[in-house]
Amino acid sequence: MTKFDLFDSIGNVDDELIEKATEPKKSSKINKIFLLTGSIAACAAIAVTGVYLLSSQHTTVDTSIPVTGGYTEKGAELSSGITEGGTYSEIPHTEESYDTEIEIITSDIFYVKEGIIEKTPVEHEATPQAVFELWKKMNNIGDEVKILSVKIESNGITEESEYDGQGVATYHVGDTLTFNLTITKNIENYYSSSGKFLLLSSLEKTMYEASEIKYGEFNLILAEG
Amino acid sequence: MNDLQIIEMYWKRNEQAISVTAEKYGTYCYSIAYGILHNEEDSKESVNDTYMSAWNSMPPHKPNVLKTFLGKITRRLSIDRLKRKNAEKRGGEIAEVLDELSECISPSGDPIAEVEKKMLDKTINTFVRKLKDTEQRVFLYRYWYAKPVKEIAKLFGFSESKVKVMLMRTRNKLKEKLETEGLL
Repeated sequence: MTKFDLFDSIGNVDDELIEKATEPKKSSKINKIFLLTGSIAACAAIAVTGVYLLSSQHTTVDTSIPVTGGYTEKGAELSSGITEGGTYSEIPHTEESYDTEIEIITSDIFYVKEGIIEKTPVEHEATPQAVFELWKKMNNIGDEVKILSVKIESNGITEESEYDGQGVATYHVGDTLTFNLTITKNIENYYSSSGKFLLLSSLEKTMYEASEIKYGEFNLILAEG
Repeated sequence: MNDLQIIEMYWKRNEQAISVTAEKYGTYCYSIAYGILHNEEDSKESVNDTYMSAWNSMPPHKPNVLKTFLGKITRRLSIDRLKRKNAEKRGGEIAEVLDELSECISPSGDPIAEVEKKMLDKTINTFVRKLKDTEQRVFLYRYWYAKPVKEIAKLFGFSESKVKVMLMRTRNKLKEKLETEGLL
């Protein structure tokens, strides 16, 4: 089969499908929501009327839901922490939906080759899942290794106050963001081939490069899948 | 004049049928031809050939939708002209469209035999029919009408990036389908 054959066959689809394609359609509201590798609900103070939130030194935000946001880049040295065990939550499965716009970006994917970390720029969807899959492929890691969750922590604080007799919670964005990536523990099966430190460093670099948010800390958590 | 009346003119061998067709569907056929040939002269010739082909095929044909009947003829004639003149090298949108479709086939593909062609037609038709509405429309705008990504994006109110992702995913699904059906 040649590409002309395929193009020709597409030309033979039923008339009603061709007609339908050009029928005017009401444009649906397009939510320009970008899935970022780490997202937080606000980069400015948020006032929530009538809601009381608990104050906390560390606020965990579930990044499995799409949010809007914009962030200023903060230069910070990477610091890694790898912990084992811990709880995790599954990333909720969503049907493929083109109402959520996924950006295509190019970032470096780091991989271990003959005892050193190399990198190559790759175009991909701006989601942690897409980046992780590419990293696995470049490092010859099998499908059994999976992302379990991606969370961003901030050292922002929430203040409670009153306005016009109603409770108001105000969130103040902190100055340090921590990227928490939980993956399955079976990544350990690949330590011997690439070396644990090099392999996990390449993962950290890859996730950092792909993230629009330049977080200050990276935590890799290994958990049972 | 409605399509039934025009088709009746063809059946009665009334030569006015061609001028009426040109008036009603000339622009439509030309846009299809130009999308493929990217050349004014070749496109006009392709459209003229469409009218002759329509004259020769009605009767016996009595199409349900005259517009798409003519559009298909134009599309087929245009791609044949493209192959003959090797006009693909001329560039334009069709080169990109064909390159994208080549992702769905084996690199060393030979021209398909007639028997396999019928199976391919059926497989493609089923595949397109099962696509979700927006996916289907975007797919057909790109690979039936050979419209540029920029134009499709504007039409749907999407970003070009979104259209490209959508097309990429649909092509991947198409490739899987062709593999499952043993056509690759």
